[in-house]
Amino acid sequence: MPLAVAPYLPPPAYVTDVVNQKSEGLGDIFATDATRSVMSRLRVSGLTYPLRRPCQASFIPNTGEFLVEEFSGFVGRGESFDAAKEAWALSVHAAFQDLLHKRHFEFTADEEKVWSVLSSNIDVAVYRNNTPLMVTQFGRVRQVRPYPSQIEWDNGYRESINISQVDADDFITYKSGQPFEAVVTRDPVSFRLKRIVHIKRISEPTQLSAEKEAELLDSIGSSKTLPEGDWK
Amino acid sequence: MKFNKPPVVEVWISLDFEPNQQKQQFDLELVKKYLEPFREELPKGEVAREREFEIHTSSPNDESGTLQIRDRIQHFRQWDETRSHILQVGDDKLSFHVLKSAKETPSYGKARQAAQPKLEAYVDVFQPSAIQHATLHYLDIIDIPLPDTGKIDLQDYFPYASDLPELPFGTISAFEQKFRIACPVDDGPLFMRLQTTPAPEELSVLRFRLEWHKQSSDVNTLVLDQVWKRMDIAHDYMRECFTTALSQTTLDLFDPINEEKNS
Repeated sequence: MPLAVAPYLPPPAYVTDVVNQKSEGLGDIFATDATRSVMSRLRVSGLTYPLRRPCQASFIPNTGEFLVEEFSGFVGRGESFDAAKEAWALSVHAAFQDLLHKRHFEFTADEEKVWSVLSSNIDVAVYRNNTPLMVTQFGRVRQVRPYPSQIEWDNGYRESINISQVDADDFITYKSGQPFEAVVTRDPVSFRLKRIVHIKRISEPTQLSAEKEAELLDSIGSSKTLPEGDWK
Repeated sequence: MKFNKPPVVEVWISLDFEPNQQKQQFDLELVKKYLEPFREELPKGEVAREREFEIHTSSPNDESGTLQIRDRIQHFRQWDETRSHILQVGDDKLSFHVLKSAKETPSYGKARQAAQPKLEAYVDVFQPSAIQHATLHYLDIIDIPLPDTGKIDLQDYFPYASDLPELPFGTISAFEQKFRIACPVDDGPLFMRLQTTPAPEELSVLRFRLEWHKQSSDVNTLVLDQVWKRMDIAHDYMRECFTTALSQTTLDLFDPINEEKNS
């Protein structure tokens, strides 16, 4: 009977369970070699990707290849186990980050295949809901009792802050009213402030006079100044 | 039959022990003492732990149940800089693995030579009552080039693999076959598994994993010469099985050495 390479399709859970069962009478002797290991999470560059199910990883020593059965198409190459595993993890990380922010209609046919492999093995919803948002925000210290305890963002929203949430030694010296620019990590679901990973004092924003403001707005122009076009 | 490009990627020897009658638990102090002399040869290491959950319920309708959690150390592993020599110690278990590297191709002789002092030290430190089983393991990775049709015929390469008719089944895309064989030359079964395994697409090959595990059971001795004699028998038997299980077309992929010419 002919034998051919087929594209990988992740088996439904009930099939996986059957496949993973220990064979009656054969014991676990088949699971003892050092080239294979079970990977229950993927850690790379300080990130942890949640896997939907434990995956079977193999290192082929003669070719220096690291492959994971479920991640069809991804190969890590290196002289040692660790180097090949790192190369594999980076290739998955790069592909995932490249495709994560694309909409489905933006995918090419090849990207769609890659995303199918990635999303069927990485729990994308859990990843999104556990990966903090990082945003640049402007604000000022509102309360100091005796150390900064509340900040007000430039949209008027006030938020409590604990010194231990700020990665800057001198934040404790900020006085009430001190304006700043900060890089903030927030919970992606509740948008609650998690940490301020970078903060710097800035000078007081200058207030334009009413005349200067009108002048500036005029210089920007509006759609009225655009040439006529046939948009119909 | 010898080859210039043998498919073997890992050879290992594993031993199961009958513990010392005074043993109370897997003694971590003994493990440290045992591994100490090998730290220079095998400087890197890891510990594998497992967690077992047990839920006790007093009746089928009782959802409250009491939960017991048990942590257990599965094994200690030490390896060299290239991760081509690995020593593993578990509860009444010892194994020594030799993996393919840029410098060396694994073989029974190399695995035996490296495992011998580790076994002697184990007997000294842990003082088991006997060796229960000694097992020789081989792992082969076989890449079969795909022709332009993108298909091969299983029987051309593995004549004794169980097959299915093309009609009405179609084309096989993955399979796994396991055998447990009563070895005629030594007590203890031979376990064999042939399965497809993923390969990088650009290589255009079908990759197979072929495993051999010959267990010498009921060894029941601490006379190490007897253990190695059983291993030698197991090795000769497995070598014969290997050349018989594969077709000449497959063996040719490993670039056989013309022994007549060489002698």
